[in-house]
Amino acid sequence: MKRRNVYIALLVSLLCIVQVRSFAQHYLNLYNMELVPQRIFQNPAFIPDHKFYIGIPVLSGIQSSYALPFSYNDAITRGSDDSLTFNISDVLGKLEKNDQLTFFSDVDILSFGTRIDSGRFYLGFSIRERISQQYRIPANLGNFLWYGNAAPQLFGKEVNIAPTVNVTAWDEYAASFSGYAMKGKLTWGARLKYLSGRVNSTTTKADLKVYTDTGTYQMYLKSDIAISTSGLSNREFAADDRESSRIVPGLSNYFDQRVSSLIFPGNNGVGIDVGLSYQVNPHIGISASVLDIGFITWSKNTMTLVSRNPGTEVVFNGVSLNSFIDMLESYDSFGRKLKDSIVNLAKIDTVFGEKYTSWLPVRYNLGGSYLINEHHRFNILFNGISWNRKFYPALSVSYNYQLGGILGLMVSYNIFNRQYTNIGAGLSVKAGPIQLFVMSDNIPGMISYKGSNNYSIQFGLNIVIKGKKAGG
Amino acid sequence: MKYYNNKPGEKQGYSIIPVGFPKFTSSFVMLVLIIVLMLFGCKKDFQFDKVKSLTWNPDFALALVHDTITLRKVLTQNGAGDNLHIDESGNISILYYYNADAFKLKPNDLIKLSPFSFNYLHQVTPAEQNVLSVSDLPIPPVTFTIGIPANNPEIRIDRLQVKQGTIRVSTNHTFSNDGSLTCTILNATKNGLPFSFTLSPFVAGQAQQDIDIAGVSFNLSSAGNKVQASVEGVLKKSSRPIAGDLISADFQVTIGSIAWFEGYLGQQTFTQQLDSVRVRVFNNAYVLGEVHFMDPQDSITIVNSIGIPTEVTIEKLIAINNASSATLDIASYLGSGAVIQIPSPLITATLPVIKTVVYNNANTGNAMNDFFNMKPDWVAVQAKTRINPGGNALNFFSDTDSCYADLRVKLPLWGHFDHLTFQDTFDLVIEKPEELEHLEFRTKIANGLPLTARMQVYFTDANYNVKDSLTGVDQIFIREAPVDPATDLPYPGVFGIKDTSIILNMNRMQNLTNVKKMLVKAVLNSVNEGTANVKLKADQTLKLNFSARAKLRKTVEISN
Repeated sequence: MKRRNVYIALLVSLLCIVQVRSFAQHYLNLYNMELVPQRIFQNPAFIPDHKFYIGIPVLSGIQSSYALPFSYNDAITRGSDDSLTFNISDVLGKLEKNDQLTFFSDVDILSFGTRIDSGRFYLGFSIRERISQQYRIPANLGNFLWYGNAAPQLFGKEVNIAPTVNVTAWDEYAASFSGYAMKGKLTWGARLKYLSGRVNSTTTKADLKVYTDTGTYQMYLKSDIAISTSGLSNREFAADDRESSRIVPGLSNYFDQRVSSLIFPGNNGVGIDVGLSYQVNPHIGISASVLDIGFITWSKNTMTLVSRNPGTEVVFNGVSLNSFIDMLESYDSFGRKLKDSIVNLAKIDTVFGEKYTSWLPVRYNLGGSYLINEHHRFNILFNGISWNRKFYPALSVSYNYQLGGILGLMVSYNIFNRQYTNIGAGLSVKAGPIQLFVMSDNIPGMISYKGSNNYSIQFGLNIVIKGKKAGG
Repeated sequence: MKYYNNKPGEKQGYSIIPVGFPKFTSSFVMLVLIIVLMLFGCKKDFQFDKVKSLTWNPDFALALVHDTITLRKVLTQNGAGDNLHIDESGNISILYYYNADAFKLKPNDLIKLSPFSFNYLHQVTPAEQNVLSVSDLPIPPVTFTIGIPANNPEIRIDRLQVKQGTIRVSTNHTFSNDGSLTCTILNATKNGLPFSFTLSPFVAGQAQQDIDIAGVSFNLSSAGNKVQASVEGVLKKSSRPIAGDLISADFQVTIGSIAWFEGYLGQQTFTQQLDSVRVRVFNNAYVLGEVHFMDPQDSITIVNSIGIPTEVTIEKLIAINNASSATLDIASYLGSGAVIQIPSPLITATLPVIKTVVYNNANTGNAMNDFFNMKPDWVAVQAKTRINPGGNALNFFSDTDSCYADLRVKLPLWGHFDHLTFQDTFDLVIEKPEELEHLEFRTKIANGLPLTARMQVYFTDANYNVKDSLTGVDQIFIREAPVDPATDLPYPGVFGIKDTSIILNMNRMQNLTNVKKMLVKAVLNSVNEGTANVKLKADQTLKLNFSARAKLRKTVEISN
C-alpha cells in the first residue's frame, strides 16, 4: 500500500468517525501494547512473547472507563465563595447533542497462558468480572422535567422521552487457543467463553412519545416500551399470581442468597472471540479481531416492563370533574395525582418470571502496524462496538517504543466519543518476572478531569517468564 | 406469567465468603479512581453541601378536566335518587315523600272490646251430700249467654280470633274436694276443637287462675255478639262438701288484641293529626331567586289492606314557608278530589287496594301554582277518615292489615327559573402560592341545558372570609342552549358555547395564602332572564373542558 493511499484511507476514516456518535469504550492502547500479555483479550491471535504468564489475581488486569455527554465543568460552576452551582441547562444542552452515558469495567480475577507443543500453540485461561452499562437519557426527558411540557423545546412537538437502560454484569470463564500458520506469518486464535450473568437490564424498545397540543393542552402519548431485567426486583409471585411476602434476592439484598447462587446465579450464556494477525513483510503487519460474540439467557428473578398497547396513541384530555375537585383538596398532591392519571394512560405492564436473552456488545478491531526497527513502531487501529443495533466507531494512531522485553512506551492519538483531543499513553515495565503496565486512551482527560467527559485506564501486574518465540 | 423465583421451600443461605467480590471489585476500583481524581483535584469541587439551591421554573400546560355532565349523572351521583324520578322519556321530577304515616289506620284502633264476665254458683244440697257419701256426684251443666261490649254499638262480630287474651277464673269455694269444674265456650273453637278448660281440684277459700285464650276463634254469626258458655263439674266421693257448701267461680274474659275479624264495624270517623313533608328544593342550594314550576303536583296514595270500605277527606293541604312563616291552605280548591273513596279488598285478595289521587293545576284551578309559589319548606296534610261510609258491609281484617297514605310532592323540572342560586364549598389548600408564578386557566363549556349560568369561584380562609375570586368583578357567563318555544326544550345538538381564559399572576397568587376553601357560586336563569318556560331533561348535557398553563417557580434544595 502506497503511503499516499494510507493517508487517504486515514482521512476518510476520520471523516466517517466525525459523522457518527461514538460513546462506547474501546481500550485502544491495549491493542498495540506488545509486551502486555492481556493484549490477547483484544485479539486472541496476539500470542504473547512470553513462554508463560500469570496475572496476579484481581490485580492482573483492571480496565475501567466512562463516557458522559458532559464534563464536570459543564455541569458545575464554582463560585468565588466556593459555592457550587449545578448548570442544569448546560447539561441539558449537552444532552441535546449526545444523550449516551456509558460505564465499563473489566477485572481479571485470574488469567494465565502458556505455550504448548514447543511453542507452536498457545493456551490461555481466564476468569473475568465484567460490567457494561449504557444509559440513554434523551434531552427531551430532561427538558420535560426541567422546563415543562410547554417549554419551546417541546410545546407542539412530538418528542420521545423514554430513557434506555442497558446494563449487564457478568462473569466470564474463558479458554483461548492460538497458533501459527504460514511459516509464522499468520497467527490465529479463538477464545471460547462460558458466561454467567449476574444482573441485567435490557431495553429493546424505548419509545414514549409525547405531544402537547398548543391549543387544547391535551397530551398525546404513544408508548412502545420493553425493558427486561434480571436480578433487580425483590418481588416474588406465587403460582396463583398473588404477591408473596417473601423477598427474593435483588440488588438491595444481593448477598442474601445461597453461596452456589452467588457463584453461578443461573443465568447462562456462551461467547466467542476470534482473531487473526498477518505479517505482510518484516515491516508491515495487519490484524483483525471480533470479540464478545455471545449472549446470556436470563431466567432468574426476571421482570419485564412492556407496553400493553404498543404504538397506540392515547390522549390525556383531563380527568372527570369529580376527580378534579377531589384533587383540589391538596395542592401538594394535586401534581402527583395528575401525573398518576397521565402515567396510568401509558399502561405499562409488569411481567415477572419471563426468560429473555441479551446479546453482548460486539467489538471489532482492524489494525495495522509499521515496524521501523526493533525499537520503533507505528500503529493504526480502527475499532468499533456494535451495541443495541448501533455502531460506535473509534480510531487510534499510535507510536510504540520498545526496549527489549523490559520497557514498552506508547503515545497515541485517539478519536472516540466525539472527542478529538484524546492523547493516550501506555507504559509497561518488567523487573525480573514482575511486569507492571498502565495505560489510558485519554491522558489529558485524566489530568484535567473537570474538562473531560470521558476517562479510561487499564493497569495490572503480571508474572511473566520469557521464552524463545516460536513461529510455526 | 409469574413464577416462583426460588423454589418453594428453598432455604436462603447467607454468604460469609465474598463470592460476589469480583463484581464489587469493579465498582470499588471505579470508586477508588474517582476518589483519587478527587484528591488530585480540588476537594472544594466536590463539596456538595455547598451546592446552591436551584430554581425550578418550568412551564406546564395540561388539560385538567374533560367531562360530559348530564343531569341524570349529577342527580344520581349526588345520592338524590330517592328524591328524583326520571321517566323513560328523561323527564325529571323532584319528589318528596311522607311515607306510610301521613295517616294510618290500624285494625285494633277500629274495634276495642271491653272485658266481659259471668258467675257460676252452686250450693250443695242434702241429697247431693248423701250421694257423695257413697259415690261421686256429677254436677249438671249451667249455660251462660254473655254479650261482648264494643266501643261502637253498631259493631257486629261474626267471627273473631283472639291474638292475645285470657279468661281469669276467680274461685271462692267453701270446701275442698278432688273433683273438677269444666267450662266450655259453646261457640268457640281452638285448633278446630270445641274450646273448654277444666279446673281441679276444688280448694277451699279464694283462688285465681288465668286461662290463655290466644288462638281461640269465636263464631258469633248466629249469636248477635253473644258468647255462650257452659259450666259443669263432678265432686268426688267424700265427706265434704256437705249440704250448704258453695261452689263459686267468676269468669272474666279479656280480649287484648284480635288476630282476625269478620263482621261489621259500623260507621266510624277518625281525624288524623296534621302530617307534613319537608320540601328541600327551595332551601339550601337554591336560596335566592324565583322558581315557577309549570306542573307541580301533590299526590296522596292510599294503600288499604283492611277489609273495610273507607272514605278519606283531605281537610287541609298547607304550604308552609319557614322564612316568612306564611301558609297557604288549598284544601278548598281540591274539589271532588278532596274526598277519596277507597273500596275494601276482597276477602280472598292477597294484595291491598291502592288508590292514588293527584292534585295538579288542572284539577285545583291552578291552586298548585299558588301553592308552590310559596316556595314551601313544608307541605302539610290533614285528613279525615270514615269507615263504612255506605253503611252495612262485610268488614274483615287481620292484625297485620292496615290502611295508610303516602303523601308525595312531585315537581317536574319544567318551568321558569330566575336567579336560582347554587352554592357549594370544597376544600382547597394552596400552601405555597408563591410557587405559582403565572397561571392561565381556560374553560371551554358547551352548555346543552336551557339555563344560563353566571359563575364565580371564591377563595376563602377557614372562616369563609373571601381572599380572592377567580374572575374578580366579572363572572363566568355560560350561555344557555337555545330553546324551542314550541317544546320548551333546547334545539337538538345545539349548545351554548363559552370559552373563558383567566389569568392569575404572582401578585394575585399572594392573595391565596391561607386559602382553605373554594366556594363555587352559580346563579341560574332560564331563557329570557328567567321568564320563559324550559324543560330540563335527564340527558341534557354540560360539556366541560378545563385546561391550565402554569409557570412554576420553586426552590430546590440540593445540599439537603
